[in-house]
Parts: sequence; structure tokens; C-alpha cells
Amino acid sequence: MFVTRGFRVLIALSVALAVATWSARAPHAQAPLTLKQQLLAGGALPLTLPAEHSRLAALPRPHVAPGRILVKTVDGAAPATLQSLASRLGAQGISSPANADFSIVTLPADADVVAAAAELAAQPDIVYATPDPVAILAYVPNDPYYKYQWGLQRIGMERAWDINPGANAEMIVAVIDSGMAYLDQGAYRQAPDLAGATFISPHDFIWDDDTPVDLDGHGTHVAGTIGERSGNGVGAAGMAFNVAFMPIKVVGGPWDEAMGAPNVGTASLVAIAIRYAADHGAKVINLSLGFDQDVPSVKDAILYAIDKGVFVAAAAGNSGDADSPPFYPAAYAPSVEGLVAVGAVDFNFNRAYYSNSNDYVEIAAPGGDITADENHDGYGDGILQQTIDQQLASEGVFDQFGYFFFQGTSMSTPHVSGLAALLMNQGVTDPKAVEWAIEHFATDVGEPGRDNDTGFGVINPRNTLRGLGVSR
Amino acid sequence: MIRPVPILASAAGLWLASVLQVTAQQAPTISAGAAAQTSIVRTTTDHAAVWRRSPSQLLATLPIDVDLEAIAKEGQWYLVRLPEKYALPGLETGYVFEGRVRLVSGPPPPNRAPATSSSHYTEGKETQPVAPPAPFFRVRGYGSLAYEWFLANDSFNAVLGHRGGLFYGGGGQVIFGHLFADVGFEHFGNTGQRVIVLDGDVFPLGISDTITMEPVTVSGGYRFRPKGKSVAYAGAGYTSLRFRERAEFADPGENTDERFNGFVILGGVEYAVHRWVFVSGEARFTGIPNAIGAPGVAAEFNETNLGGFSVALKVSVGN
Repeated sequence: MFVTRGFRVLIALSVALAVATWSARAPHAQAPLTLKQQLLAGGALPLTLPAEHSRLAALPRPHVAPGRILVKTVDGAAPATLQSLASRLGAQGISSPANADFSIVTLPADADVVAAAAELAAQPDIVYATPDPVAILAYVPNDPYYKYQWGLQRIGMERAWDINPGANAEMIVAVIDSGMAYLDQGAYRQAPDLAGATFISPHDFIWDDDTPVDLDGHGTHVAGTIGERSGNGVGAAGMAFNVAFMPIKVVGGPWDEAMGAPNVGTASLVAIAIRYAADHGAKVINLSLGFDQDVPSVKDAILYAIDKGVFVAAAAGNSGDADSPPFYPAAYAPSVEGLVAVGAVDFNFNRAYYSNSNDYVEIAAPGGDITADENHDGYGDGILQQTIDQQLASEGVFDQFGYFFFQGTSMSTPHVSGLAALLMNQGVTDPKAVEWAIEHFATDVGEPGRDNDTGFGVINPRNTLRGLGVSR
Repeated sequence: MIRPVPILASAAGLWLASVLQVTAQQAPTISAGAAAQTSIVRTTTDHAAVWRRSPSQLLATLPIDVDLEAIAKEGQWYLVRLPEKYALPGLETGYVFEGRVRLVSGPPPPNRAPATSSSHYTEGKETQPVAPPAPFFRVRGYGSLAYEWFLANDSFNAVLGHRGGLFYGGGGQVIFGHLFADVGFEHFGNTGQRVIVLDGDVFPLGISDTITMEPVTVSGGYRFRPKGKSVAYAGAGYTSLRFRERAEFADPGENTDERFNGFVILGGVEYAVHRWVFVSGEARFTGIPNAIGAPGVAAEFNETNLGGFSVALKVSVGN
């Protein structure tokens, strides 16, 4: 459900009013705390979301970030060249983010960025120029009280753990998402089932700081599937339950937006985050997100990461229609070894109704179907993980957790990332070989051989981790 | 006085002596008239052996002071006529080494060119009798140690870390003149790791994988004319290989235990280090096609043959 533009205005006004009020009360000699800082300092948030607003529905975000174009110039091009070109389009500024090989041209918010990007791309010294699409999280969350993880059982994780009991903390998995409930600070709490995990180089690209707390729940749920602590008597299990996490926030939730986060989740942030993760020791990157436009800077970032030995798993998208447009960066997968596009299957290993069917789909994993109860446990067959209590989060409470069934290719993708972490932990250090192994040992479903619904099939962790002998 | 004659300590003599064991009751003599016209040699030692050639056979062992008619001399050997007492039917003549007799009357017997089979007994070198040509029928047992370079060397190298391996075993061999038949069994065992392979790059997974290969080979061939103590040989045969591969975390049906059949081509040189002990160096090529492949790592290297090229060292005991 999308809220109306009126709500956005209301949120913005509320935030502005709250900030103005709070600022008036703040000590005049100190820089004002952001609302996020206030949250992490333990203070109550001086604002609420509208009652109708739920984090279960995405905000009515624009298709592309207003006034932003991603530009890459040819090697050796003088900075003045881009400056000159951009100024002709009425650019207000040009920035070159760290961890990026492209620049961001800022235009007036009401500029036609599609047309401007096309005009810029036609210039001789430009490699590419694209709008900056808003990243979309691929999930469909659900009622918060379900507790059964049929997905891990159906793909045979119990036997896979016999071979590799959860990897170890030297295996760093970057979760580039909405953040992660990894931190006990102020009014914010770490997810109990992540207690004891190691967190490496966290970063928040929405707030430009190093506390990528999840105010949404998506990233924490995804992280749980990858490596929720297991065997600890708490909650549920994860695929590779001893890995270290690198929480990276590139998608803001409604609270981030309401609190006045300086950035919104766009493809440029995803590209920057991928390079950041590769530069800070990640071995696996999980991208349970995407956008419906080809953004070369993201593809370049993925190639950069793979070149540094990082495996990347990307959600195939939740449009559920064979005629739907490609979902990026998953759609790059056929041309990029070391990147896999992950579709979703239901309890019976059929393509989930929402999972994209397209020629870029390479592998499938349980993504759930909350509309069905094929295992007759009385609950819809979503993917269960712990995350922020969805109801309380909508009220600005971030210290309560529950177990929630979500569905989507966002949920299938971390299964693949977890498997990749286990496999790399066993010694397969080349992301291309990781992709080969995951696809080679997949359980073929649907039409024989690769197909657009489930790619090479559903992941088979136990067979993948066993590898090959001379004869079999 | 009756004296038992010791059995000549040679493999051939073992069974011949049981037939030919004789006693020396008294030294036989030849008449003076006959002695004046013929060459007579007299045994100077007990156990002087008289041999038949081609095929080699011990005809008799004579006591000291037995006079023999020397018909001719070939190299270091006298061709002599055995007294009737010692002769087997139809085998009245034989060869005795010159060191076992002395010419006691008559002219030296005419020299004859030594037969080819005894041409290696070089003049002046031998002070003791050299073993005569090998017996026609022989039986041997042997132990073997072989190193094989596998045809599926990339696959084995990926899993075991070696492109070949040591086989050990043994077998038996029978020889009929120039022909031989051989039955051998060997064992190979090694443990490596299961792997992931992409574009020739191998990633071990730390999961143990043990491979055992046990070929049973039946072969036959031809032994060439001896040169000194060496005999070259060549042959071919049939091999049946039991291939087993067992890995950690395998279901019972996921381990391999199969038998594959193929062929072997071999050649080598045998050297007699002792009358009953022989050492052979052998080269072999074994082909066992269509034995491996998918779903194993062999498929990634397009390798299907479990054979290989090997060199072997055999130590045989027998006649």
C-alpha cells in the first residue's frame, strides 16, 4: 500500500516542526543532534508517523532520485570537461564520493533527470550517464508470530552443517540493506539472536555515519537468514551462523526519512557500498535489493568487488511476471561470473508467485509464500527470522524483537549468501568458482536444465559443500 | 663300497637327480685298444655333471675316475660318450666341463665351434662351470612395486595431489621355453580431499576422499634370447580393476565400488641375480577406458580412463 503525497508532506512538516522545536531547546553552544543521534542517545523521538503509515508498505518514493545523475567520464578527461557539460544542463554541483569511480551531478529537484542523463551520455567524454534509481527492497513481510523455518530444512541444511558447522568469524558477509539491529546503544537494541556475533566496519550511507542501525527490519531479517546465531537456545537458525557481519545501510526506512536522513537509498549508494564492502574485507555481499534500470556504476562496482575476491548474491526481483522488466543488479548476472541472480521458490520448490521469471535468473532458494500452508503447520509458508517488532517499530520503538515470516527474493537471496559463506570458508576463494559450484550442485526443478523460473535449480548446500571426488 | 651321489644343487637337477641318482660301485674302464684310438678323459672330481643341450638337461653326475670317450671339444666343454651304465636310453652323449676331467689317453679330441647357446662362456674367464641354458619349463612367484602415471592425471592430481601413485603386489609366472604367462595382483591406496574445480583451478574442501585401486592382470608374452644373465620380454594381457572411492559425509550409495576392465601392454628386462632369484624392470601401459567421468571431477577435465603408464620392479623366485 502506498501512502499519498499528502502524507509525505505531512511527514516532512512534522519532521521540520519537530526539529525546529527541538533545536530551539538545544543548548545554543552545541551543534544540534540529529534525530538518529537522539535515538541512539536514548531519547524519545519527538515525532510519530501517521497512524495509517506502516513500515510494511513502502513510502511513495520517486522512481529515480530527484535531481541526481551518475556520470563516469573517460579516463584522462579533465574535471573541467564534466564541469562544463554539467553547467550547460543547469547542474548545481558535482561530487565524487569516496569508494566510487563515478561522479554525481546534482540538478534542480524538478529537473528531468532522464532527459538530462541522456543528453549528457551523448557527449564524447562520457562513458555513461544515468539517473540514480531508488533502490527497492524486495520483501513482503507478514504477521509477526510464526516460528518455523521450513526453508532451511527443505534444502537440507542439517546435513550441510555436518560438513561445515556455520563457518567462522573470518568469513565476513556484507549485508547491504536497510541496516541491521546489531547495536545496543541508547534506545536501540541488538537483536537477541545476533548476540555474540562479530560486526566488522559497519557503515550507514543514509546518515553518513558508522552506526547503520536498522529502523525498518528488512536488513535484520536478511542478516538472520545468513547467519543468525544457532545452537544458542534462542530463536531461530541461520545458514552460516558463525560468520561476521558487515552491516551497511543504503536504504532508509520511513523513520530515517522522517528523522531527516540526508540521503535516500539510491543506486549510487549501492555502488558505493559495494566498493566499501570489498575494500573493508567482505567475502560475500548480499544484495536483497535492486532497481528496474541498468546502472553501469553498480555493475562496475560488482566487477570491482568480484575482482577482489568477493562473491555477490542479488535478488531477482518480486514482480512475478515473466514480462516484467529486468531487475538490476541481478540482471547483470549472466554476464558477470561471481554474481548470481536469485529467484524464490515456495515450500514445494515451485517458483514463488512473485519471483521474477527471466533469462537472468540463475539459481533459486526458499523465498516463501505466505498465502499457502503446504507444510500444514498452521502458518503461511514465509521465511521466518527474528527482526525488529514490526508493530512497535512503526511506533518508534526499536528495542523489541519478534520472529516474522517474510517472503520475497529478498529472503531467498540470503540463503545463497549464507551458502557462499560456508563454501568460501571451506576454501573456495574464487567467487567465480563459488557461483559455479552453487549452480552445478543445484537441485534441478521445473523444466530440465536451466529455466527462467528457477535458473539451474534450488540450492543444495550439502552437495555443494561436499564437492567432487574423482568418480563422483 | 656304495656311495650315494649328492643331488646336484640346481633347479633343473632337483627333479632330474631323482631320476638319475646313481651309485658308484666301481670306476668303469675302457679297453686299452680302444683307448689307443680314441681320446679318453677321466673325471677328476666327484659329482662331475654331464649335460644335454637344447633343451638343457642333466644326464648324469659321475664319481671320480670314470673314463669317458671324448668325441669333440667345444670351447671349455668336452662332448663325451657316457658309459652304458650312466646313459639314459637315447641319450648316450653329453657335455662335461673341462675342469671336471683330464685327458688321460689318445689325442686331443677335435675342436668344434661352440654352439650358440654356449657361446657366452668366454674362454679363460670361467674357472667354474657356468649354469647351462635355462630349463624349458619354469615356475616363479614374484613381488612387484610399480609407479603409475595416471591417464586421468588431472583428476587424480586435483583430489590426491599427485598425478600418479605407487602400486604394490605380487603374482605368479610360468615359462614355457620362450613363452610366458603371468597373473598379477596389485594395490594402490591414497587419501586426498574432495574439491571444487573451475577452469583448471582446484579448491580443496577439507573433506577426506580415499581412493583404492586393485588391478588383477592376466598377461602373456614372449621371452627373447638371453644375453648374459638378462632376458628381454614383451607381452600383453587383460586387466580387471576394482576401483573404490570413499569420502567423508557420504551416503552409502555415494561411495564408489566398481570393477572396470581393460588391457595392458608390457615389456621389460629380467636379470638373473642368482640361480633362483630374478629381478625385472618392466614398463607397462594400461588402458581402462570409459571408467570415470560425470558426475566426478574427471568430467571437469574430460578424463575417462583409469589406466596409465607405469614402470615396475619385480623380484621373482623360481627356476
